[in-house]
Amino acid sequence: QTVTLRSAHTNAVGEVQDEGLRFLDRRLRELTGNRLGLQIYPNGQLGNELPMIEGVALGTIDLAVPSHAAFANFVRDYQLLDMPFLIRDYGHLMRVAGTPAIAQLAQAAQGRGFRVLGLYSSGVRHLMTRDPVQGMAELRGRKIRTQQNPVHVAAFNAFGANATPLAYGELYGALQVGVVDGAEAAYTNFVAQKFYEVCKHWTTVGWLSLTAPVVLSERKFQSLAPDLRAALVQAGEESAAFERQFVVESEAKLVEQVRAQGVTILDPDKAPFQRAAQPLYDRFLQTEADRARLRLIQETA
Amino acid sequence: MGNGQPCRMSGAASKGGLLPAPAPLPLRMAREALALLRRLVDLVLLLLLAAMVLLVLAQVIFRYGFNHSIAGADEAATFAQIWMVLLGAGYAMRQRLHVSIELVIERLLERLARLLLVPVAGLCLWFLWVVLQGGLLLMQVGAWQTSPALQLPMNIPYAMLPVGAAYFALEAALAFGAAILGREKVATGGGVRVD
Amino acid sequence: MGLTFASFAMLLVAGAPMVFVLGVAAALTLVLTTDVPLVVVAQRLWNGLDSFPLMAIPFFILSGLIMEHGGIARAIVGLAAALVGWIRGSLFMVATVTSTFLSGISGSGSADTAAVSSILLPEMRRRGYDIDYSVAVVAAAGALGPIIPPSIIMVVLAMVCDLSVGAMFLGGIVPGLIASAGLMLTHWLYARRDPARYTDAEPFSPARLRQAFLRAIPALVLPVIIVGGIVGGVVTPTEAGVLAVVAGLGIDLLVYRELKLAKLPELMLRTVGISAAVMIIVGTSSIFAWLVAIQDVPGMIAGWFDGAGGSRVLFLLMVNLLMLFVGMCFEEISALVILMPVLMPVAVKLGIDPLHFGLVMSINLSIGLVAPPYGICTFVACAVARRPVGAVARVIWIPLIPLVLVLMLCTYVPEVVLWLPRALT
Ligand code: NA
Ligand code: NA
Repeated sequence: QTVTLRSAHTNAVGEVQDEGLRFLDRRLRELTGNRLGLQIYPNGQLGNELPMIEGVALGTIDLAVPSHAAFANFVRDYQLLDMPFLIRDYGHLMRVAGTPAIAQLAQAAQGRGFRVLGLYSSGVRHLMTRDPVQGMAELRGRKIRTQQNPVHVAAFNAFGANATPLAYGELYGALQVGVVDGAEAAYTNFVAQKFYEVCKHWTTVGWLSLTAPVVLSERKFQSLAPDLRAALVQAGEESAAFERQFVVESEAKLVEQVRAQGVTILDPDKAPFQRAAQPLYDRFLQTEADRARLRLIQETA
Repeated sequence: MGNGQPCRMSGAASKGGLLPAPAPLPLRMAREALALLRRLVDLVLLLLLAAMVLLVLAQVIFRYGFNHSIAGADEAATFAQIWMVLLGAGYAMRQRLHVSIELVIERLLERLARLLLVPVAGLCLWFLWVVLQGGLLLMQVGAWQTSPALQLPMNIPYAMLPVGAAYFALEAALAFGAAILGREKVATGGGVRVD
Repeated sequence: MGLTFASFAMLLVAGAPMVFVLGVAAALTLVLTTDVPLVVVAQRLWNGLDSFPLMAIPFFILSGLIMEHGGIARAIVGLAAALVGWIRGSLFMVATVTSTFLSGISGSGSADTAAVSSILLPEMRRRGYDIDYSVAVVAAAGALGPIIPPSIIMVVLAMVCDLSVGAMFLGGIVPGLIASAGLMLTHWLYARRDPARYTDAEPFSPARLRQAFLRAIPALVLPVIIVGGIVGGVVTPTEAGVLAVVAGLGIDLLVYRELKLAKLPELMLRTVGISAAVMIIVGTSSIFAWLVAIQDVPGMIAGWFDGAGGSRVLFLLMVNLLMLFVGMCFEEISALVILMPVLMPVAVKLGIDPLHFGLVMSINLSIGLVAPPYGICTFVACAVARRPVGAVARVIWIPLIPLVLVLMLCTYVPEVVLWLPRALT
């Protein structure tokens, strides 16, 4: 008698979150003698990020992997992870993942009926553009597509660009014909959606380390036998560690693919970006708890 | 976008229907309340469409004229669109604008056709009941969920799910009722179409 | 499953609005075959409507109504008459060329058909044209409406299949123009068989063309804004829609002065009703798409197709035949929102370019608008001419031939539809 969890993510098959969930599925079946597993629905088949999280809250989906940016619409505390340049690189993320700051965020989510099983990485975000952008000064006045998120919009406006939220499905066409001049993205988006066909320039700003909490419905979690719950907690952490490592390894291959497509990769001076982003910390992190967690993450070596 | 099928008048058919002209006072009051409600719905729908046009237009002007995006304009326009459709579905029912395929029922014996509409009406109203219930549940979850751009509590936009379903159910009940009682020809859609 | 199908069939037979046919079937399937809470119905309905690109639909419906009720259509008929009125069967040519221009303004085939029917069908009758074939000509030209951008069918298709509306629009231009030329050639061949009847062609006059062109310039601004704006990358399709509304209204109020401003609320309410009727189906279909995904229907079909030794060519042929049949008997938006979530993943699994498949489907559905017994463009033209659908059905296969040939061309030579979207990279 296998319990299968209806699990949704928005990556394509074989992309990082898909691999992470497959690992989770394998590990769960090993740990429980095939009594617990996942049924994985990729590609946003069960809905985009917000509906996916809503589905977990309503019990129509058991498990989802939304970005922390989308999840912050439900659990405000996760906005902390949206702060530009907060997480410095992949190594830093791996060390931060184990800190009490992240555990506190999971605690806050639990109060809203979400059990967070781990924190996946969705890659570090850079900038793809139609024309070269060597540094922050050259961003001035350019229309850059961001996600529909107040921090992301504020960040790119702070960098001097004209932040333009646009549906992801319209992005390729908008870049192709020049409705927008560029967009922020991770290597995996750049390659998987073939954006390199319409954006020949890639500026490694690394302005945000996008993460994705693995979110299970708390009600579903509580309905499981204690040993299954323990297996979920263990396998969740293991799959997150695996997934974050997988992101690092697959990115090396992606960089090669980007080069092979004849894309120029520019490495800008990050200091002006970091300075421009500083005021956002005060603007968006206003509670004492937010600030305490901010310090915890910043002080993590 | 002309009438779909020949000889089908849309719109006009919906007046009267269940509530005939010389009627006792409670019925007259019900009819007046209905007329008032419909005028209100018309007004709200006009405002929603106007809001969509003006918001998107303003966005275009600001983006190309001043190289600036208005935060939240697209989201506000999208909410107006969803509201327009959810509330407009009831309006489309009143005007018999819904797409329906009436090639078969037009050829059925009229008594049989009217009898068939009884369980059909039940199923349709059950579906709207499901939407209404689901809408109320979504409003509960939406109470602590914010919209991405405007940071609006989502129970406000979600409120149109139960409201729209209720109005749609009212118009559907009137339309099916009139057809079942034989006050109108057996048809609930109209065949006016756009594609 | 049996009960679901029975209720689906009962509602369909009873002529219940399609939104209920789809919604009841989806909700019953959820209750009877899954353990998913029913709240998913309301949630998916909302998510299906929560889309900015979808907003192009009300905008292009409103711009179509303004065009139909104002002086824009009449000005374009004048231009078309000066351009092609010298060819044998001149009003057939005028109707086709007018529809081609109007397709660049409105997103709907039936709007084009309504505008052209009301202006040209009475004149065709007066000049002694075969009225049933005239109705067929006007109806068939309506198929160009959703092929040439803007197009409501393409917006819905792009939504359902997660394609770019802009890319779909670009892909429709070349097949639309080929289809238009094919229709004119067919009508010319038809008129040539009966030279005694079709004698009204007038010699070509450069002076008349210049005059008609001057009068039509303001109207021609519209397709330039819409198609040019999208092709040139100035605006997204939704923004082009709003510009079409504003420009169309401005041109009509300032230049042609056939539309009264007091009529605007009526046209707007009509837009709301028609858009809501189409879009509520799109919303309801996303419940369906969710069920299809949950039960992995595309995987089953692809597996079955692989097992049967299926090839891409065979799959495309079968889909074309299926869609031609569906188009004859069914309403296009409902058909597409039910079938595309199933067919598109299968096509992708078989290695077909999603954009190519989407464009082939939109041409297929456009033909369905014309094909009797259930073809909306034919209904509209028949209603204006007061002719029974059955009589027109006897001749409508003639203009359907070039449309089906264009469909086959686009199906098996993908470059025809993909060339323009790719060339603009
Ligand atoms: Na069109
Ligand atoms: Na049809």
